[in-house]
Amino acid sequence: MMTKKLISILFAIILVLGMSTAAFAEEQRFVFDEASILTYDEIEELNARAKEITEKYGCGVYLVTFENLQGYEPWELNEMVYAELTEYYNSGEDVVILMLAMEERQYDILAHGYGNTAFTDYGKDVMAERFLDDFADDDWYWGFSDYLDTCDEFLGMAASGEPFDVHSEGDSFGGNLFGVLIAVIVSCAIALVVCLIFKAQMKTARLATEAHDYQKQLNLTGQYDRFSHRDIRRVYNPPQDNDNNGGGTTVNAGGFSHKSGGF
Amino acid sequence: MAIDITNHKCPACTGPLHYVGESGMLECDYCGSKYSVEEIEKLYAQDEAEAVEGFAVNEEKKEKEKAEFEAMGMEWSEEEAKGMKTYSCPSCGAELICDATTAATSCPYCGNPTVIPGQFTGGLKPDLVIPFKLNKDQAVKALENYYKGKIFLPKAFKEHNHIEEIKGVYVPFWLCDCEMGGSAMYKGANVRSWREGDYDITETMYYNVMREGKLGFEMIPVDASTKMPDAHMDAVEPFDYRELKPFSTAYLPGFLADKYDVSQEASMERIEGRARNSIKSEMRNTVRGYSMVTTEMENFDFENKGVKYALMPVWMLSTKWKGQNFLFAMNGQTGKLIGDLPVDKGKFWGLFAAIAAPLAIISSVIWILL
Repeated sequence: MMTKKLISILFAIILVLGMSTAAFAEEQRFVFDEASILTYDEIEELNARAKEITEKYGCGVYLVTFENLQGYEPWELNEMVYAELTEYYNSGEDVVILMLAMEERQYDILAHGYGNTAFTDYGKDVMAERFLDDFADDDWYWGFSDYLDTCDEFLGMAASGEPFDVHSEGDSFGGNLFGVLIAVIVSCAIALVVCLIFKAQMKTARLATEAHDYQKQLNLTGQYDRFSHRDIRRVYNPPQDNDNNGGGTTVNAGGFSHKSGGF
Repeated sequence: MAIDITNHKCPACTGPLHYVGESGMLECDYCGSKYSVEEIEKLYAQDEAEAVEGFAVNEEKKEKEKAEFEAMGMEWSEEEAKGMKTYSCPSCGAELICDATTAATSCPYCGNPTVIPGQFTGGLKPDLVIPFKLNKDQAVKALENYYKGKIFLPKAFKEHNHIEEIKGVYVPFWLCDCEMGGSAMYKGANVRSWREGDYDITETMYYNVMREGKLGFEMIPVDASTKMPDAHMDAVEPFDYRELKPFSTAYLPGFLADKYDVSQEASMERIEGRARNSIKSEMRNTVRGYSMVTTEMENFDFENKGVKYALMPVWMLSTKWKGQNFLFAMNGQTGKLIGDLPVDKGKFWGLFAAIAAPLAIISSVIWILL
């Protein structure tokens, strides 16, 4: 049963990649849209950008969409895509592949070889954050565009010797800008509070709302505090995997690293 | 026309007498003689009785004249139309035009303090009075001190500001003894958290809390004059009730005084509102021992235990700046001064920038370095 399924999916991959290759035989393809969610112009534009990034950094940047997962886990299917790309399309072992399955609305980011260096676990988390908001709105082109931009940025950082990782953001311009922005907002809030305290001294004519200066002792004639009920909430909260805190990339036995999820 | 107004004159030299808060006596500016309130009350009892009688006769006469005017198809005079009243100054004979509620004033021509005892007769007679303790100079000084430390006050306001008018006014107040009683229901909760294996456990224990009781109030004040802004009169509180004295017109010479023009009934809403808010917070303060408390029901009834009519001493100071009036009020007994001041927007934003800019720079540098 499993073998039949595997053969069918491999056939689907070969068909997708093969058809795409036949259609654009004159050049190497980086965008494979089996689910037909992109227009011809969009495919061409994204393909050109992916090709440029691939050639610039020597790491294959791919986009693949399927109609469904055919019963496989996203990471399994993506590893099959990798196998096809390396075997039949000479992609090389240094790749990053974003795969989408439209029926299940699942995605997987696969990195291999140099891709594991450039796309750390944390880097893949950040990358996913950038495109997921577009995919949530079914805005496929802009989601893929964000993916390619992120690939360009992370490969560029890796090329300079400092791959994007947990410690990168604080040093990056964006991280600094965010920090400065927070510092400015907090400083303004503090200054405003101080100014408003001084301003309040300028207005002292106020209507009285209470009569504490004229009240006697409160005479309590009755009181009780009765237990009503007990409410227990149990929230599953397993210990956090702290491996990521130190950064780096988690690679499986096949030499792949993944980031999967829904969109 | 019968005499309906009295001047308190010095028995020694016939100069005008006025009440002086510091000495608690009526003093003559001309010969320096001093008289106690009791002495003046005794001396002027006869004059005041005549003035009260004259006030009633004149009121009756004026009503009669009005009716005749109307019957003849003639219009009322402008003063009458505005609710003003006219009196003759017993010292110089000049005509004084006053509000219908004016009870003590001074003649604009001869400057003599005058009292209209007819405004304080029968049910209109105040029960109590707190005499002025602080004088005009102290009020001016208090205003100057009030300006100090106000960093947003425009410099020009402080330097070129001249007090346009300063007057000591006995403001009519209702003092209400009352009691609020009732009950309130609260929901109290205590929260405890701990960890069991891979689970975070949060336990919340809920309690139904009831409080029932009474809270008495003694002489909650509310000003009974529409001429006086409520916010100013509330803000100069509290008065020291230990210095309340039975009312006497002898405390009035030298100051302005009005009779009330806001009825007890109309004032009750404000008194009840203040009492209600006080019992709410007092009751709530008895609910202790919970990490969270929410009020579920409050039901309080107001009981009026009696209202007294009193005159309270207030110095009113007004200034004008850039065409806008600024009114200040000072408690004539305790010296508490209140009033709204203009804000220099340039100074406001200048201080804002002076604090925000260095803070932002320092914190940004720290962020980048760390």
